[in-house]
Order: sequence, then C-alpha cells, then structure tokens
Amino acid sequence: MLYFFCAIRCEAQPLIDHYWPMDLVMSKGGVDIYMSEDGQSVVCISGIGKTDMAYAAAVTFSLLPPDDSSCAFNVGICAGYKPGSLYIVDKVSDCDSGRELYPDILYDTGLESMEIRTVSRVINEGITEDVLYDMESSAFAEVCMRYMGPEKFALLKVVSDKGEGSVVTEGMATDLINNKIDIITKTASIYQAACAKADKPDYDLDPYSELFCCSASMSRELRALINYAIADGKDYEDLIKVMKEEAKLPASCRKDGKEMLGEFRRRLIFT
Amino acid sequence: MSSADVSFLRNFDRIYIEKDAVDYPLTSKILEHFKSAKLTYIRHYKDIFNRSRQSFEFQSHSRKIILAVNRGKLVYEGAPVCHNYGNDRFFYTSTVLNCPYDCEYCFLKGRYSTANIVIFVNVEDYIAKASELGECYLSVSFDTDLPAMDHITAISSVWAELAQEHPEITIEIRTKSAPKSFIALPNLVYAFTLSPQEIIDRFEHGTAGLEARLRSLRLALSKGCKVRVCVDPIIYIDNWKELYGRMIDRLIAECDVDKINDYGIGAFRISSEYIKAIRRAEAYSAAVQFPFENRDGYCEYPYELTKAMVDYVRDRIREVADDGKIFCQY
Repeated sequence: MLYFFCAIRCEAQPLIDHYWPMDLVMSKGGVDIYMSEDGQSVVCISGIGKTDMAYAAAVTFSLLPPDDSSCAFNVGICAGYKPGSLYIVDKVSDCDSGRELYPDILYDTGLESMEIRTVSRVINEGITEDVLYDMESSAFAEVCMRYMGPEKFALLKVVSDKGEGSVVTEGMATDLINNKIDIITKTASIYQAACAKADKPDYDLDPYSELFCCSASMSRELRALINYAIADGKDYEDLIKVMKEEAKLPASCRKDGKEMLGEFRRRLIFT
Repeated sequence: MSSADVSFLRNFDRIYIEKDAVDYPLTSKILEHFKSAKLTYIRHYKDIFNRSRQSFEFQSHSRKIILAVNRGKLVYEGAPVCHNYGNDRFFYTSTVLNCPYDCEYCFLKGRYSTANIVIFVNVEDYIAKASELGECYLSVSFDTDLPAMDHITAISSVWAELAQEHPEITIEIRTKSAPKSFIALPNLVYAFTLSPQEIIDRFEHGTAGLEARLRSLRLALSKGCKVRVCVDPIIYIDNWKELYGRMIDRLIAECDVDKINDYGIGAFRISSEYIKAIRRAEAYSAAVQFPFENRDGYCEYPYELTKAMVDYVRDRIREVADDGKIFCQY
C-alpha cells in the first residue's frame, strides 16, 4: 500500500485527483483519510505542524497497518532557495529537539536530494541554497521509523517560497504540487516496486505440519527444513511423497511424527 | 512498474561524515576517491548506522560510507569461538565496521542490521591504544576485510608500520581479497581465506576468485611474508569433499607450501544471536538456512558433519604440514 501524507488539503488535492476514485474512510480530530477503490493508495490530510502530523500518521498506520510492501510519503510545499523545484529529503533536522533523522536514499529517482529543517514557526528570514524548511517533516519521519524501515519512506518537497514573508495561496500550493505530480507518483511507484522485491519463501506450512503431527516447536523446525530445501534447490515435496509411499507419513502420533521429522531432516541434508 | 525496473543508486554515491571527522587526514584521502559523491554531514555515526528496522537486503544494492571518529573502545579481547593461534593474549580491533563484500553467511549481517560501512578516521588513536597492549596477538581485519578497502583507506599499511615499530605485537590481516603489496615482517601475518571457486561463486559475492587469491598468496610467500591459510569457514554443500579436495590439490600444486606459516581450519559456525537476522537477510541462501544445531549458544552443523569436514581438510593439509602448524576448530 502507498501512503501519502500532506499537511493541507490544497497539497493533497493533486494526489486525490491522481488516485481518484477515492473514498473518505475517516474524518476525525482534524484528520481526513482517503483510500483508493482498489485499496492500494491512501492520502491523509494531517493539519499543519508536527503534532498534527504525528497524530495523523499514527492514526493512519493504526487504522490501516502497513505491511512489508508498504511505503509512505510526505508530500508538501516548503521554503527553499529555488521555488518550483522538487526535492527528495536526505536528512531531517528537528530544530526544536535537535534530533536528526535519515531516510535511506537508495533508488535512482532522478531527484536532487536536500536536507530539510522542521520548525515550529513560519520562516521569515532569508534561507541558504542547501537547506529546506517546513513544519511537519520531522514528525512524519519519527512516526515512520516506528512502523517501517528507512528504505520505505520518503519526503518529497516542492519549494514554494524563499521564506521572506511572501504569501503562498492555496491555489499556488495546489499548482506547485500539480506541476510535479507525475514525478511524485513515479517516485512512489519506484519505491513500491522496490519494496515488492523483498520476497520470502511462500508456502502453506499447515498441510505439512499435519503430516508430521507437529507441535509448535516441531512446526518451527519443519519450516526451517523447508526453507533450507528451497534455498538449496532440494525437492522437499518429492521427498515427502517418497516418505508417504513408504508409509512413513502421515505420522500416527506426535512421537511418530518427531521420529519422521528426524528422518526427513537426515534425508534432506544428506541425500 | 515491475520490481525488475527499479534501479538502485550506485554504491558509495553518498558519504555521511561526522562533523568531528571532517578535519582528519584520512577523511580527505577517502573523499579524494569519491569526488562526485554527495556529502551529508551528521552528528554521530550511530544516527545512521544504528537506525532501527534497516534492511541489509535493500541497502546492499546501494551502500553508503560513513566517516566517523571512534570515541569509544578501540581494542577488544577476542571471543572464545575465534582461533587464537596459540596466543594467550588475543585482541581484535575494528577501524572499519562492515565489509564491502557480500558473503551470504557473514556474521556481520547478524551483528549489524545495515550494509553501510563505517570507517573510523582517527586511526592514530587506534595505533596509540594498540601500542600500549604489550606482547599480544592483534587481529585488525575483524569486522571487515581491511585489504579490500585499502585502495580507499590504505589502513593495512598503517598497521604494518605498527608491527614494524612494535615487534612484541603480532598483527594479523585477514582477507578474501587478492592484495598486491605486502610488507615482510616476522610479526605481521597475512591470512588468506581460501574457498573452492564454486563456494565463492555461490556464497562469497564480490570477493576475489580462488585463482586471484592463490596468485596473491604466492606473491606474499615470494616476498618472504608470514602467511596463514584459512580454510574457515568450510561450507557444507552436497559435494563439499570433492570441492575442498580439489582446492587443496591446487594449493599444494601451485604454492610453495613449505613456506606457509600455519593453517586455520573450521566449519561454519555462528552465534545463535545472529542467525535469525542473517536468515532474514538471506532467505534463499542454503549456507544460512541449513538446519543447524545449537551448541552452547553457537549454531553449528551436526557434530558428525563438522567433524567429517574439519577432519578431511586437516588430513589433506597434514600431507604438507606438521600438526603444530595446523589450528583446528576443535
């Protein structure tokens, strides 16, 4: 599942439009959560500031728990040196706590990376060209680190102003995100595809556990043996078939099953 | 987009640097090698290296270097499971954490949940600390493959200098690479880990091939260096005996084995604390998914199998070396 977190509706609207049709699955405590009809994309509008973002992210992940292939994105506008530019954040500094957080930058998204500093007030002074400023990133990153690995979330920020007191209207914010929506959603697809890569041996252990009359610990041992067989390219199903033909399986009782598990182990390793 | 379409950024495209590490000479030297790398300044290496929920599997596609200053312990006493090669006072030290190679069975995947590599740039502090140890045996390529990083760091030569100045300290530099430069000293041991090419191809990704390792070993012997051959870990696969037998045939045929100082032999074993993380990182590796037995906190092959493998290799080595030169796991 893809999770998108935006502080305000005008930032989220281009994402909602992109993944439309979406249903409003929760609207409570200032947090709106939309989910696409296929259940694969979520857009959450958190409200402005760290507290709102932390609350919204925690609520969303509790309501719709991420799985191994899930990734999360904080999409929004920020203050920076080059208005209109889109960046992927490589370092998140919380200016209140001093804490620094680092999402992994592993995939070739073509985006320039930049540090972002999260502040609790609007920046009115001039800023340098190597730092972005916003009001939610550190909260988003903090919550994500509790739910997923640093390779599974990203902060995608479009510079809206140079922090010199200029007014950014809702329409301007929507336009800034909209202008980059193709790159943002393409980046999300890259993360999604990469996370889908993380595969593990997938099989139903239950029928085999029944064959060996497994206890919980025997089931764990059986799983380890089957994982080894898969890793070593050994045909464990054929081995079980042979043991069935020899009337060694199914086991008549747990004691018998334990003995057969030992036999299965021996044959798996040494034949 | 399918998973096959995902392209990862190249290794070491980004270097994280502790602010305190910026002014060290080794930092400048390393950065010379990575002129196009993006630099990210950090406060403490653990903010990156020790993050929770990291994925070795993902990070191994795009590793990063972290340059740091080690403010903690610099030298450790060796673990009981490690060979001490007859030395009572056995220590190890780690100027680098993690390895550029990707051996599927490596304990580092259990010790660290990241593929990123930390290089401690305050090598002078390590040297100063080691100088105080007195007579001892010091392994300096322990949490990494130091020679494999030498084209970037040249740290092996710094340890060689220490060996030159402190004859009471025996330094071991262990590698699966194929170094080309050596310094011949009586208290500097170059330890080559040898594996059959089939094991290298299957489990020791990125390491030097057997041919290159043997060539490097011959060069070290020709320079008069003290050389150790490690057939450790022996990895079990169906035709292990044939593969390790052929490898030892090559060692005997191609190298001046009389000049080899000693041998270390051991079957694969690993702390049971690490095995879960390694299996998670290497879901399809027969080397780590093997159903090991847990003996005294270490995952090992069944005793008979361990014995058969170690005995076989020892017996083959005995053809060319006295027992006094052979150090075995048991």
